[in-house]
Amino acid sequence: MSKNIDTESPDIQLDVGQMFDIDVDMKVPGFSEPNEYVPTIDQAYRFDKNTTLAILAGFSHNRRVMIQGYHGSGKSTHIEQVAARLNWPCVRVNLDSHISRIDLLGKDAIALKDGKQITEFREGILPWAIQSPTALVFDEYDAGRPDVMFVIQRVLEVEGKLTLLDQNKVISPHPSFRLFSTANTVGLGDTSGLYHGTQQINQGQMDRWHIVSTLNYLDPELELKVVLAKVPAMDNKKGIEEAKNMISIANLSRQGFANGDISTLMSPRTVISWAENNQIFQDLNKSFEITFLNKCDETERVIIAEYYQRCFNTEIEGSVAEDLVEE
Amino acid sequence: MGSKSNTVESIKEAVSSAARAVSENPEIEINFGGMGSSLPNPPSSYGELASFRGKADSLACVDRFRDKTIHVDAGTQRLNSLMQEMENVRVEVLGSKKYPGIASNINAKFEEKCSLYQSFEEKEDVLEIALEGWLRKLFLPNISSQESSKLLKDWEKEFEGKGSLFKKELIDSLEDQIKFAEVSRTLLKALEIEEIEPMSEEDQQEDDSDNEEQNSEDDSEEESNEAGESSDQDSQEGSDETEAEAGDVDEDAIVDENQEIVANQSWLESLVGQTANFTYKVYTRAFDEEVTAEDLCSPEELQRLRKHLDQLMGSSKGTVSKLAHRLQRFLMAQQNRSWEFNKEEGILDSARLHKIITDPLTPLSYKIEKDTEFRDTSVSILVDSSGSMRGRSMTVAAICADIISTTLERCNVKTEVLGFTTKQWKGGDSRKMWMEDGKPENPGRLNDIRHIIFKSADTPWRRGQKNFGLMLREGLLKENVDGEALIWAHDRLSRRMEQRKILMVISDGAPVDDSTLSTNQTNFLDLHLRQVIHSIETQSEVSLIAIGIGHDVTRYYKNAVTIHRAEELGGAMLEQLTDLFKVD
Repeated sequence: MSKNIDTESPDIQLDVGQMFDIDVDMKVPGFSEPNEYVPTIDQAYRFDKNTTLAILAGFSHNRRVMIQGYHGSGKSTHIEQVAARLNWPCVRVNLDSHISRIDLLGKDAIALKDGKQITEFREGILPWAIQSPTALVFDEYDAGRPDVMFVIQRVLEVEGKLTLLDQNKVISPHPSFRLFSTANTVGLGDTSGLYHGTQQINQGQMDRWHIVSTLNYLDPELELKVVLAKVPAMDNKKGIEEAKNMISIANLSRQGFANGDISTLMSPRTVISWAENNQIFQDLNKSFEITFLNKCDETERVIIAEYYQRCFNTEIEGSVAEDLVEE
Repeated sequence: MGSKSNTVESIKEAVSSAARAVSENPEIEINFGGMGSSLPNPPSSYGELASFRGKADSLACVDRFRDKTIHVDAGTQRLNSLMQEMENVRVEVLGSKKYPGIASNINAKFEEKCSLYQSFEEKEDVLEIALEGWLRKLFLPNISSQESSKLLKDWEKEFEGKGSLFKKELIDSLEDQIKFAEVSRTLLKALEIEEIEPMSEEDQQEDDSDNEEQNSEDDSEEESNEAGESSDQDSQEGSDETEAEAGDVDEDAIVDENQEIVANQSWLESLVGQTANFTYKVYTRAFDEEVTAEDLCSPEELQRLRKHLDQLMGSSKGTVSKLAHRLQRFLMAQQNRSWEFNKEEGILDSARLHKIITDPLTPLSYKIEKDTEFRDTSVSILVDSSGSMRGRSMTVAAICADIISTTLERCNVKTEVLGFTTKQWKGGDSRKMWMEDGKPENPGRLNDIRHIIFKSADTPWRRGQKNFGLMLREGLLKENVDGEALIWAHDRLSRRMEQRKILMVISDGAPVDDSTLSTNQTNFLDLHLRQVIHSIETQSEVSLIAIGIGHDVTRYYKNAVTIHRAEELGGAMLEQLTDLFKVD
């Protein structure tokens, strides 16, 4: 990893209410200049108040924050966008069950020095990040293997020093190092049947996360803003009307899922892909079919078609109306 | 099941599911057909679908937008009913504004209602519908209704004259139930609607209840609607005694298929036959059957029974699911994966490649992902569906089967739920045949066996769940011939590919079949059961566990627990399962 990260600390105070368009009177520390690890700002992004406050608490008070929520609700992006606005370097690591200790801590690697091959220890992402003012985000935290996750046990404690056994070295964390994670479950395993491949998180480790914030789906109005910002072509009278109905059916599917009537649901991401696909195909029903309906269990399509009728007043494939005869 | 009834069922399911989602209330009471139910039976033509949906949507809107704790009394019955009418329009409009589809459905419902009022001549009689039409026109100017304008013509002048002052107030208070009620009360006062004679009022009320079933607020009469299912369902819904006979007619076809399966003596069966110092025999297998729950019961009834089961579940669900959760965690903890390093073959361990360069003599290092030690497992739950299980025991068995199969499915363990009983009480067709044959001595098992597949191992719980309701059907539970059922369940299980197989028997008594026992030696069925159990326990790869409800099954099974109250069943089942998974 390059060494050109500025080892400085936050140097300015930013106004939260103004910056994130939420109704709070609060100031957070931030950097005046971005560096190469600061994510780019997505102007279209809308912040959820509770989640934003949780993340900001993580940044300003050095808390370890975990964001939990259904898929496609924008957990990782949320952290990234907050970091982007604070000019805080942010690195995302996707955990999966093949990430091992070596990947996180570092390993001996071959390097060329004075024309000769030598081996030297290359630090992994963890020692690197911990020594710099970086926000490290572990995505899909509950997909990581429990045994590997113990590597970060110490780091989770504020002021926790990291010991590198391979190098006989103890690393103290940089005062502006921050740690975040996102997960679909709260670490108790998957109880909904939606998230295959998630693991149960060791409770000793869960305990070390200071803040666990839940980000489920957005307010319909907020979601509408997100969709319109992502697909600007819809930002006209007809488009807004359509987008509203799209969000209505997404909410019906979420409610239907909670009621146990259907087993797949539309995430905000689905709604956005639907809107985008609609721009390609210029056919709302067709693009709904390929974006969402085809992912649903056959027996449940009739229910989805019913929701669709409620929101758009049109019958789509699989609707009960198909079986009835015209009089 | 013809496609016709499937359509009816899927309409019911789709429409009520949409109502649940729109109302944001999973418990909203939606039932179909007959007196006291919230909706009529689903239509058979496309034309009527919209107004049918409109009725359901109207219910959903009421549930979502109305605070039922608020009651406004306008003084007289007539005024109250008009106020109620206005309030209904209010919630329907709120729903219509939010969902375009609901708007058109409710409009279709409204037009249907208008057409019913067409024949009314008296101005007074059409007041309600005219008021509704006027309000709808006010709130939803974009949705025009041809029908209502005719009804409205008598009243429109009056409404426009005296009511125009209130237009703005009405629109402003649309979201506020209390304020809206206040405004509507003043509006009605301004209209100077007089109390009409009691006689004609009764007529009016009757019309109301006929045309606006959806408005009936208390749906507590759900029991009564069962009796009133439409005539084609009546035969199935009716008396339980006739059900079995009615079912027999189309089952002949199934029997033919099954004969082949049954005729191929299974391995276990022949084994039991060899070891026996007494021989079990069956008088005839011609009338035995193996049925799936779907074949035994109409989808409507399955759904109704399932709903009933869900209601019963409430109390015991908590404890059982807590235990189930524990089992799940336990199973998940076993499914850990890990790597083995420093192997001679496998995947190249890239992290150690540098060693080869620093010291070319070191061999390449490989890593292997350790296989999970968690073995494939298939669990089969065999439920004694005999008469003695009736009531609490069967309910608890159904609840446990339901919860255990969900839990295990999450842990990738396939679960099968089977039941066994007989088709008839007193020997059925087998006995008739035996009588015709001149009652030969020691005929062997003399009854028509019925083996039920509630959920096969490959059916996902999501699709099989509705079948568990069948266990609650009164007419189903008859005699029990445990030995043969065990062989059947065991054979199904041993055909499966999984490495580990667990057969769990839930029973509350020794095998009993009056017809068989009265014609053979008294311990005939008992001996056979013991033989089968012995064979499975000593020579089969299937682990057998038994749970006896109020009946000591340890006499028969090696691995058994006896519980005394049905409530303990959940705990006992999960404990036994956990123990079995712990063993390896």
